[in-house]
Amino acid sequence: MSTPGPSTQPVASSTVAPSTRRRGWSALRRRQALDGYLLAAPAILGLLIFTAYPVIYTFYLSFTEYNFVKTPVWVGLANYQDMVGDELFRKSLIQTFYYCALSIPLTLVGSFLVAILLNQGVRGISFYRTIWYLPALVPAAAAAALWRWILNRDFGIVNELLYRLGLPTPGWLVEPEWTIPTLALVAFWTGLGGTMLIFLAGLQGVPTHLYEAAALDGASAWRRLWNVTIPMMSPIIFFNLILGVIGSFQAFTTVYLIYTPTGSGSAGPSDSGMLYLIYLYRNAFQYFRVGYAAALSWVLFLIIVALTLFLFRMQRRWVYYEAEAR
Amino acid sequence: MVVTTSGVEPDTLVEERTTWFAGQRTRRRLGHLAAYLLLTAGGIVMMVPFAWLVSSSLKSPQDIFVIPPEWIPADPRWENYKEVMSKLPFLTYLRNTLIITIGALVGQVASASVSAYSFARLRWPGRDVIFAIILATIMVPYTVTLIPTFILFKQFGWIDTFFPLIVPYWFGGGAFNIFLLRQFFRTIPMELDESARLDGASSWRIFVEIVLPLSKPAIAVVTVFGFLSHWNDFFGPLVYLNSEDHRTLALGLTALQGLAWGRDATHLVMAVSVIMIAPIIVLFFLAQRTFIEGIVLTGIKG
Amino acid sequence: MVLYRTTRRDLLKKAGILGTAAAATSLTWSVPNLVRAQSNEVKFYVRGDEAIFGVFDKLKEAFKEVEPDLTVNIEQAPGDDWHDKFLLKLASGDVPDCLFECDCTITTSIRAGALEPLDDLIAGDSRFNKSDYLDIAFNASVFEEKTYGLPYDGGSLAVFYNKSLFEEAGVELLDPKTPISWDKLIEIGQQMTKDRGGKRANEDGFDAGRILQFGLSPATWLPWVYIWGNGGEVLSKDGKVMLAEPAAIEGMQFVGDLINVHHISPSPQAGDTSTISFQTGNVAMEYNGVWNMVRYNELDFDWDVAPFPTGQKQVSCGWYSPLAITAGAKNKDGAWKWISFCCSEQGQTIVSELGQAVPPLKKLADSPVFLNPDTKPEHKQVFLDQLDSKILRTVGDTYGTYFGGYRKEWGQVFTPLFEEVLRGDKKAADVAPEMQQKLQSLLDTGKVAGIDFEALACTTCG
Repeated sequence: MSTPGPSTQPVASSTVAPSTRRRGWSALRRRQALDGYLLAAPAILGLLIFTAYPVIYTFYLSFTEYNFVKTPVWVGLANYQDMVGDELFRKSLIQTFYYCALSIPLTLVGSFLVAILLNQGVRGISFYRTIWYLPALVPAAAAAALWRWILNRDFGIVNELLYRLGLPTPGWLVEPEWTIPTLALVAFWTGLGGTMLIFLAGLQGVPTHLYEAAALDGASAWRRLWNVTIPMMSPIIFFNLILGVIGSFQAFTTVYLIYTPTGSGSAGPSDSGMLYLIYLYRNAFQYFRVGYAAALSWVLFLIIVALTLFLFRMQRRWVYYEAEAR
Repeated sequence: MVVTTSGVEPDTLVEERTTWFAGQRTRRRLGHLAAYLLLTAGGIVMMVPFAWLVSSSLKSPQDIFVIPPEWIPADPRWENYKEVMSKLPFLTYLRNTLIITIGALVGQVASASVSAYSFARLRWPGRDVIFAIILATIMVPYTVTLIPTFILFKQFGWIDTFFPLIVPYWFGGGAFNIFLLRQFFRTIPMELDESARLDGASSWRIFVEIVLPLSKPAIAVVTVFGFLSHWNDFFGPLVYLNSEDHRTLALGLTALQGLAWGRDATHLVMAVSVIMIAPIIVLFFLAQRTFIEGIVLTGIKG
Repeated sequence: MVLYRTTRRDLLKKAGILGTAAAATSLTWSVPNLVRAQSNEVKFYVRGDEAIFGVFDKLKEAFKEVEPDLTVNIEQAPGDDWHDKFLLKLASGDVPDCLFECDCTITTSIRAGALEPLDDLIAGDSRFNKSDYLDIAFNASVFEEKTYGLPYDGGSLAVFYNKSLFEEAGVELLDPKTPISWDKLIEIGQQMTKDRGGKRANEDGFDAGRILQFGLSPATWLPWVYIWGNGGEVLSKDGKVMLAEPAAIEGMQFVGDLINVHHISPSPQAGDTSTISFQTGNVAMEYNGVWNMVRYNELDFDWDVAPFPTGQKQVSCGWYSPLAITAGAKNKDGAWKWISFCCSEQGQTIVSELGQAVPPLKKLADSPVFLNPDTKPEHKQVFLDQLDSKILRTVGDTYGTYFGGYRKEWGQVFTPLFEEVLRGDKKAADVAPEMQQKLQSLLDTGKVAGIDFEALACTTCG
């Protein structure tokens, strides 16, 4: 991730040979190091208190039985073993993967296409950009309320439209097989804008001379997209993909609120919306199986790390870094 | 536009080129047209939920169920907004949300920029290792840290206070923000620092007088994203706040739906949603230019 | 340009100052919360909705006159997650003194060690002589021979029906004395169900995919009553789950068929959104509890009640939800004063007049306090008839009060499976064996398919 993308402005060189400096520099340098520690101190403290310590403590808790009140009791691998026979755990894994498989590509491809359209040099770009970005501003709680109403099977506008078109009117929030597509749809609406802006920023950084050269070679729009835009954008696609994976595996609020407006950890019809985090929340804050929830958190952590590493491995095959080509 | 190449008669070539460009231009025009059409059609689809939201918020409970639905209520009920205010103390919820948002945001922007400055422009042993670790924490799901943090705050007696939603942001302000600001700070020529340093400026002065003023777009991006994430947060308040008068707008919205129980309150829920969304949209329009510029310039792209 | 810049910088500066100020205030604002409760204050945690909160506000006013020195601090917890929030409050050390429990969650609270046994207090208070109460009044509060609550609201359930819709459809009103049969229920239900084009469910060309008015909201959350009505049982006297027996399967299937075969009932999720409900006016009949009178008082259409229809045999259903004191209450004395006031004759008169209950005190139940002829519905006697012990059933009346103490967890296991029947994806016969096996495991071991509900046990004993 630290490799600069194609349009990053050149990073100023920060290495200055010490020998060219006059004496007293080392005092300056010491001073600077001290300042560096001081200014980074909040972040380092935060890292220790709010990340490192909790991550380790959760790891410890995952080997215990604990309910927030009694002292944790060491149970070894029992929590991890319990997962094997836990149907809801299995279901939550399956549904979460399904959700990610649907929602990540949908959002990525959709926002990429919109960004490309916006980048055609159309007039009023800022107007269109705002329109497409606005849904990203909507709070998840409000989005859930809004979409519950829009997708209402009997009075919602989507089904009203489908009915008038003579199409079947699905029970978006009622039928289990529609659960994940519905959630992906809502995620698309709210998630498109942010990703699109990042793509757009990237597109504006693709050097125009590349397009001109391709155009002179008589390349069709399609070929230019395939041979210039996508390779040049691949680091940004990759970046968005990573963020998408990390975010989608942690989806929570929409599911928590879209089925029962007041929230009860309901996971939709026949638990079909049992995303991983819903199940984790249930265990921690409803069943008070804190040890088990800790184990679930660690499994999720490992899944995300594994996927990220896998994607980083794969990126060599398709992600093009200008820096390497130079 | 005139291209001259030796050996070939210039005129024919120019002619060829011109027709080629002309074809290109029509094609591009067609392309533009298609782009406009798609952008407009899609944009309308993206906007429809907003229209429906506002429309529903101005209906009476009976009109909500009129089929086929009315897009523009014949008799808009502005009282819905007043009624909502009388049902639950949304002004208190607004105050709470603002306290949390601003309290967390100030800490987040301040501490993220300070640490990013240190990571980007000051040299100290271990810097890059620590930065790499911080960057890697982006992968840590928030639930992994949730339980111990909850226990920690419980020991502080901070459950049902705003502290758990504010204090952590004063410590680093989030790995992503540090990363983003660091990337941006690194694009500012280092010579500026060095000459200032030779003139006797302290690191802090360099930060305040050189780096910060040049980094407004990046700060704007962090601010807008930060504002959104605190204003919109549901999970944090859900876990940490449990008494009535500490509710945020998001929790108030769910409480409102609980109040109705069986009686339909869609029109009121939509009104609250409008109240919740409107300030963000206004803010966005105010910050839009700097924000978008920031997105383009920060090199978010890794 | 220069001007523009300066103003913006000024603005930023101001924003910075404001922000810091706000941050500082936010910190101070949180502090009062840390101040401990005083002894003349009772913290009362209330689930429910506007209607329920309204009743407690009235009670609080009346209580002020009895105990002027005691302040009741009511904390409203609207929403389905009120019980989870309650347990979370306990776990985080923020303990209310007393609360409005639910018959559906109290055993979970008791197992978590959250509630204080009240036997001594009840024995020492002449107002609470159990023989003055209806038989089922204390059912929900008793667990392993200790009493953890005082009966507050509840009573029986009956069929609420929208007279205006009946008259509009030209359907004869329901008899307040004699229950109709299940077949008749379906017949009336079909006459009362309309699709988008105005066609009724018994007409040709009826579009079951676009129903805008339903005949019956059958209380899918209470399928037991259909099992009992069909001659089945939920639990045997010796603690065996009976859901896989034919009579129980048929009873559950009957509810599923109301939705998917006869098309007279909304599927449960469609009902949850409250866009389709008796109150909204697009459900003609609703099987629900007497406590809904307090909500329906202000409806703008006319309505009445009738007894639960008879299947294989005549049954009815009812229960009482208690007020309880927490084990960690700081002001137990004050808490008892408050909850005993609410459940006393004086308090119950207020509750009943507002229409939230059939008073559990016998002498109030059968009096004008409840049978007030000036308020809707006309035939309140139906609720008393439904409490007749010859037909009355209550959840867990065969074995181990309230499903062996696992009522809430029972729902979490049962509901997702039953929903498949309600959606018509599966037949009751197909899911019954799984229900049987899982619920039996819950009753016997406290564990179901990897979930150990016993983890809750004694969350608050410390």
